[in-house]
Amino acid sequence: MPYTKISNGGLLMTLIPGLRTKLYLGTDHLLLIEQLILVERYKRFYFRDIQVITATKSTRWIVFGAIWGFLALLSALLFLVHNPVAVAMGTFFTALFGLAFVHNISLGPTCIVRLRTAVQTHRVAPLERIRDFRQGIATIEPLIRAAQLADQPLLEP
Amino acid sequence: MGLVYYAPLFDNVALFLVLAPLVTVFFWFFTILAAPVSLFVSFYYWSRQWNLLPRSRLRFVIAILVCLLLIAFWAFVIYYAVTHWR
Repeated sequence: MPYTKISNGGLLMTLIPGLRTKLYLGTDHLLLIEQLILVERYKRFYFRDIQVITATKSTRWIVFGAIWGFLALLSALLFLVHNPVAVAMGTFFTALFGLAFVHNISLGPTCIVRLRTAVQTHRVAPLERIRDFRQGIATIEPLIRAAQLADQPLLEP
Repeated sequence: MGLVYYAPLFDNVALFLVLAPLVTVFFWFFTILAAPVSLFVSFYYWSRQWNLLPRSRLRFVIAILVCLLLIAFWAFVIYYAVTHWR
C-alpha cells in the first residue's frame, strides 16, 4: 500500500534514537508510526472513524527555547577560561545549543494535537507545531470529509 | 493476512547490543561477547528485516563496522596477552 509522508516529527525526534513518531497518509487511513527503541508500532486511523482533530496551543517551544538559550549562554562562559581545550569545548557546545535554539524558534509555536475516534483519543506528536498542523490538516481534512460523505446514506427527497 | 501492528527493529537491536556496553563505559568488557552476537544478528537479519515502510540498512552497516573494529581489538588484546605471557 502506498504511503505519503505528512510529518516525521521534526529534527529533535529524528535525532533521538528509539523515540520517533511519524505520520503517513494511506489511501483510506492515517498511519501513525511510533518507534519505541527496538520495536515499531503501527496505528491506523481510518478517515471514516475520525470524529475530531483538535490542536491546543502549548508553551513547550518557549520552555525548550529557554533551555537551549540558557545552555548556549552557559557554554559561552567557557570562553572566559584561558585554556585551548575549554575554548574548543565552549565553541562546540555553544554552536550545538545555539543551533538547537535557532532551530526551535524557526519551527514556531507548538501545540498539542489530539485525534478522537469513537473508541479512543490519541495524541499525534508529529503534527505538534502549528505550522505542521496547518499543513497536515490542509491535506487530511478534504480526505476525511470525502470519506465520511461517501459513507452517509442517501436521503430521499 | 491481517493488518500488521508492530515490527521488531533488528538493526536497532544489533546497534544496541554493540553500543550499550561501550556507552555505559563500566561494562565495556562485555563487548567481547556482544560484538560477535551483534555481528550475527546484523548478517542474519540483513535480508529478513521487515517494516511496513522502506527502511535504510545504514544501522546494520554501522553495527557491522563497530563489531568488526571491536573484534579486531579483542583479537589483538588476546594475541598480545598470549605472546607476552611470562
